[in-house]
Amino acid sequence: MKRWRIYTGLILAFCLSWQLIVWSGRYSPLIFPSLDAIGRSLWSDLVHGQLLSQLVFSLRLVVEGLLLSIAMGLGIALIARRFVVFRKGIDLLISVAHPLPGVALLPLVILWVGIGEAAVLFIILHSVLWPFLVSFFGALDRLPIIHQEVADNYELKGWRRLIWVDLPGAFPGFLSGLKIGWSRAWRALISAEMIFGATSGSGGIGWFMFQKRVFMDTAGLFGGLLVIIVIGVAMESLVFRWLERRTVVRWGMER
Amino acid sequence: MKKWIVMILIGLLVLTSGCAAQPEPEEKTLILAEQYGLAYAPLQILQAKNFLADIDPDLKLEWAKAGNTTAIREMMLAGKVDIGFMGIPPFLIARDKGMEWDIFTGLSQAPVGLVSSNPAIQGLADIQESDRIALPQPGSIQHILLAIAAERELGDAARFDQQLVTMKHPDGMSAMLAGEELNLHFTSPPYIFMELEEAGTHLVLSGTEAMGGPFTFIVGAAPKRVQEEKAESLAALKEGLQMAMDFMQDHPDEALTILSERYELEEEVLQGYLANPELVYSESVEGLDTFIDFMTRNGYLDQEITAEEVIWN
Repeated sequence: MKRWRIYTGLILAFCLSWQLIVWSGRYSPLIFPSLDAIGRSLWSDLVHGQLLSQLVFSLRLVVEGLLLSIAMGLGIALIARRFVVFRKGIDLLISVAHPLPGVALLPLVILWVGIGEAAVLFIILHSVLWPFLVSFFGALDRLPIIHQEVADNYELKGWRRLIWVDLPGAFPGFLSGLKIGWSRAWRALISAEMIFGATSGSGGIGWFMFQKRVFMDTAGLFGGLLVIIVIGVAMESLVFRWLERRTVVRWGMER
Repeated sequence: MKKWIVMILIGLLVLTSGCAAQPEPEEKTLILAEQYGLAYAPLQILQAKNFLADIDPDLKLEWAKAGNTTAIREMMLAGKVDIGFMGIPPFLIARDKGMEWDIFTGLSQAPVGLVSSNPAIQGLADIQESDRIALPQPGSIQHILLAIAAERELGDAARFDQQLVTMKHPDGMSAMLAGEELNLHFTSPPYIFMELEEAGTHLVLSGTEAMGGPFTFIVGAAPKRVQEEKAESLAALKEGLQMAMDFMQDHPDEALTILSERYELEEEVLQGYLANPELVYSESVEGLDTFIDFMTRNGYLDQEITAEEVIWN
């Protein structure tokens, strides 16, 4: 409870100082819009504008990317257990592709898959897959020997072993991989749309930001930022926290 | 409680600490946003021939790099740029949003247009919903011209708004030429010339057709701050630009040499471009009323804006 009081106080203090700067009249509202202008603009974008549908579009793409990455990650883990060469190849691929920012790949992606949803999905996949694999594989490598020996004794192989032994054992790594993947995907999605414009139809939240910028709607720009922050925080502290409580915390692997 | 007050004060200090330190630029400098392209040719001539030295030897021009119109506007707001050149619509959008600036000169008229690599598209009515149109950005002169034509021909200014793809001219060109879905590009010189030279492309709509008459493609704009504090320098710049335009008229060969060096284009190619009758360098501002009418009617502008009040004199 105490924590929430501190947070609320800090946020209020921030808002107050923001508004004081606005009231000082030192800056044009095009640079420093007032809080109520931001609020009103955000409200009208949510109620009358396309912000909600753009948000849904963005979130859907990220979720698709995450699910696809999980599927690919599990598949790769399955094959990697069978073939050492494959595992080495994947390790090499990770060390090459992991440090590459998705946005740097965009011009290439446009050449390969064209523009549109597929291109953004590709970027998201790239942003999620590698950190997810690093974290998941790391956890797989640290799997307690006793678990492995039990699995050997039961002659568990293939996907059964993956689902019943590897995955639960490596679940903390699996989850933290997802968490890193999510935040990278969220950033990649927004930057991709902001740099390369609408992907299809009304686009997503990055396109919203881009339009606010070209139409010089600074209040709307801050409104969009607020939405991005709220979603980021909500994912971290609600969705992932909930997942952790239901799994690794309950299983006594983490607190 | 005391702790809170201290924290708020510290926060305020941090947030406002940048304010006092902003150095005032000297009276006799003008910072121009540097832009390249055929439509900006008088700027390059002005720079190369140093005309301003004749008008006011103390006046110094500085050139700042800015990626596009949006960046110029933002740098101007931040006080890092004094003068910017752009299409009329982005100027009006910012003016409407409360940016205090005015047009102080026209710069050029240019043959812009919508180029397609799909032979099935001969007019706007042939554009299917699956087709994509590349242009610099929403609210750009290219976008507004397309919307004006869409309103006149198809009765719906926003008809193509869901089909736009924001791309810089070179990217838009290669995407359109590769053209699957994206087979239309609303562009300006020299890209429009290069695209139309390629096999299998054609002009779907010219800017003049869209507008229903000639219009100024690029105008120069200066914020109130510059108009008030640097009125003399601004007038000198205007005069210098006029000299540059006259020079291009009177000494086409020398102008050609300067520009071909600046643009890294062969002289013959550039000469062909410059010979285009629709490429006109002039201080007059054409088509302002049409843009204001259309943009007000279609919700791009909310305030009452008249052509007279946005022209500096």
